[in-house]
Order: sequence, then structure tokens, then C-alpha cells
Amino acid sequence: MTILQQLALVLLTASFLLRLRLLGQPASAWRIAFSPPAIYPWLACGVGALAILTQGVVWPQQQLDGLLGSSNVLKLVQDMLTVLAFTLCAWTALSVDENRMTRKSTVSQLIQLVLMEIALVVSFALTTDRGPTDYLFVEHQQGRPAVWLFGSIYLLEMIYVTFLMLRGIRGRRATPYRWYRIGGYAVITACTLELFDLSTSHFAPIAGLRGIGRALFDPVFYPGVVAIVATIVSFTVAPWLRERSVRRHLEDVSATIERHDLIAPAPCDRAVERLADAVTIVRNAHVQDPIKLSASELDDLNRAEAFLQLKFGYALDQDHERITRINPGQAR
Amino acid sequence: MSDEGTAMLDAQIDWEAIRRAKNFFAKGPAGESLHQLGRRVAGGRLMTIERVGDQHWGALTGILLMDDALIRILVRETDPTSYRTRCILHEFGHVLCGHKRCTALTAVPSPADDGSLLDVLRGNAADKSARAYLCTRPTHEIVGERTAEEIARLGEAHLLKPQFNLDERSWAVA
Repeated sequence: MTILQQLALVLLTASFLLRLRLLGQPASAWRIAFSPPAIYPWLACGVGALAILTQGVVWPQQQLDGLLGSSNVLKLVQDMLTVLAFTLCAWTALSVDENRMTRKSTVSQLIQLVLMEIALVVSFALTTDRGPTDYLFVEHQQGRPAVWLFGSIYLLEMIYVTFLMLRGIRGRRATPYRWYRIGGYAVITACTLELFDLSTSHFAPIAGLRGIGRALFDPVFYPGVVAIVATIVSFTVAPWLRERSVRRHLEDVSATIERHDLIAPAPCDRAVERLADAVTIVRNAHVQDPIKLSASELDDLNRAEAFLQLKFGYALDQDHERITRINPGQAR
Repeated sequence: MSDEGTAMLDAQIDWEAIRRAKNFFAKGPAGESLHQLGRRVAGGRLMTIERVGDQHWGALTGILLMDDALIRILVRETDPTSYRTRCILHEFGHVLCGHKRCTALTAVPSPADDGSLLDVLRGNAADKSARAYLCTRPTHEIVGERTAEEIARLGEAHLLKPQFNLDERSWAVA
């Protein structure tokens, strides 16, 4: 198996297991974490990891398929799990903006998922005499209409669901989405090439092009999966990294406060509030009652202010304008 | 500062106004921006927030000019963005408290160049209905200033949300 499949498996499994850190937290935290929509990305990681396991990354496919009758039923399981994992990602994307995932659209999305899974099962059931376990079962038997149908339905569903994933984050600006978009387009490209290859090979083989879609599938699809998982990991670790930076800046500015015997910041629930208070205390003293800040103290202050502005951005909408007008009842 | 000193200062805050301000902030939508908050604070009036040049500010941090139709907040142009935001929130504190007392216009320094802070103040001084605050930071002990500063701190806590809070909450698996 490729290194990308292994990397995807490691990232998905680690992300799935990370939620176990909730052990020891109150029941209310568990209730939130395991209710929609919070549960979607976690389930997507778990289901995605299972889907990759069916590729034989840890246990050989022959062994796994053997548990299911050694007639390539594993391929059906793999495809159903993959469609489910991507659908859960799509639901997560749609849930970010609450207006996009209403109760009605949730029911509609669930019905779509059920229909897609039924379509896979029915089309797979039509493929009789599949032969022994074969990793490339669809590609090797694509000349059979039922096998072509099964393979095509799976690829079309993947293209559709990935489009939903991309549509769900339309207009969202956070940096990790850059990888998410690259990953989404890679998956769509891989599935489209494979579908083209499958269909042309079945209906009108083109000399010299046969097998190219298959050959390109893994090198394009799995980097796409890794990019999407990297997005989930990025959003997961961002708050931890940011909190570390807050505490580091707070230490620096608090040291300045101590050295100049200024009033300490008020006790606050969050470290970032204490940092904002500390920054104001030092800046006030610098402006009002001029204390002499050393070059490094001023540097610490400026960096803390810039950090607050960058990571918590609470300036006016048109902060670059000299005059900002806030009209009563203005729609924004 | 001594415990006695701290206790004295604590007594010089309008805690009822603070409580009302906390409720006011709590009623705001999730992820409310400074702009949206300003519109709620203005309560139907037009509000302008103006960045004015450095001359003649001295130790001043913000100025509030208010009448029944217009709220003008002036802040120093060269202050860092986060500090300017705190100054704006401080003036919001005065608006929320409904402070009516006009202070220290007589303490305004001599006129200066066009577009400067003083021209702006001159333009408003003729209007006796305008209520103006020249605001400094609460190292001194005026109740109104200390209360406005505490409200500014609460306002800042209300606004301080990670920029992509919604996305992180949706996608984070831990």
C-alpha cells in the first residue's frame, strides 16, 4: 500500500482518538461533542479510517474479504464507507453556516445518503460471479455491464458528495480551507479520470488511453484525502497553538507590568482577556503617565497588540477609513 | 496598590451600570463585530467614529460628543488598532451609562490646524446641547471614567473571539 494511504490512515485514526481527551470532562461536554453537528467530523475520521483499512493497509485484503465470503464484498464495504465519510464531511461543511443546514435540509441530506448507499448495494448485487478477492476487481471486470454500472455509480456519488463538500464552505476564508479545496478538487479529478477510463474502456476503448485513469487515481485521490484530513487537524490544533501564544505574550507583558509596578490585570476567565487588559494597562501607562519602556518591552507590547489584532480581529469593519459611519438599522 | 486603596477605588464604580452593561452585551448575537455593537449602542442614532491626527491629544485617549441625533467618537489616528478599539469601547461605556455631564471643554488647548482635534471640538462647542467627554484613563478616580473603563473591559471580552471561531468549532475533533 502507498505511503499516502498509510499517512491518511494515521491522521484519521489520530484525529478520531483525540476526542477521547474528553474523558474526565463533564457530561455536558460529552453531550455536545457527540450530538450533531459536532459529531460529524469525528465520525468522518473514524469511518474514513475504516475505509482505508479495507484497502489492506494493516491486514491483507484477502483476510478481510475472507470474513465476508471472499467474493469481493469488501469492495462494496469500502465504497459504502468512503461515500459515508465524505458525506459526513459535507454535512460538517454545511453546518458551519447554520443557515445552510436547517432541519429540513438535514432530513433531505439523510435521505440522499440512504439512497446513495442503496444504489451501491443494489448495483453490487447485480454483479454475480465476481470471482476471488481482487483489489482491482472493478477495473479487471469492467467489460461486464453490471460491474461497470457498480463502479460508475460509486464514482458519480463521490463526485457529487465532494461537490457538496466544496459548496458547503463557499465564501469561508479561514486559511486551512485552502488545503480542503485543493483536496476536494483532487478527489473530483481522480474520480472523473477513473470514470472516463472505466466508461471508455467499457464502451469504446481508446488505444493508448486505457488504464490511464486507474494509474492516476491513487496518486491524485489519496493526496486529496490527506489534504482534507489536514484541514480537520489544522482546525483542531489551532486553538491549542493560539492559547500557547496568548500565554507567552501574557508572560512578556506581565513582566513589563511587574517591572514598572503597574496595577495587575483583573482576574478573567480567559487568558486572552487578561492579555488584552495587560496590553491596555501598559499602553495607558506609556501614553498617560509616560513610563520609559525599554526597546524590548515596547517590542513585546507591539507584538502582543499585533497578535490580538491578527488572531482575534475585533477592529471596525472599515478600520482603514478615517471616518466610520454606523447608520442606525444598517443591514450588514 | 494597598488593599485599602483597591477597596476605595472599587467603591467608585457604578455597579448597577456595570450590571446593565453585562446584560446588554449578553443580548448581542454570537460573533458580534465592533461595528454591530456600535449600532446597538447608538440606539437609533447615527454614530461616527473618527480617527484624528496626533496634535494636541497629549494624555487624552478618546473624545465623545453626543446629542439626540448623533454620537461622535474621536480617537487618535496613530494609536495601535487594539488600543483604539479599547478607547472606542470606553466611549461606548459612557453612552450606555447615559452620562450627561459636560466636562472639561474649558480645558481644551488652543486652536490648531484644520482637520485637527481642536477644530472638531470648536465646531461642536457652539452647540450647547452637545455633551462632550474628554476621556483619560482611570488612574484618577472619577466614577464615570472608572465605570466606562470597566464597561470597556467587558465589551472587549465580549468581542474577543477567534477570527474563525465558527469554523474551528465545526471542524475540531477534540
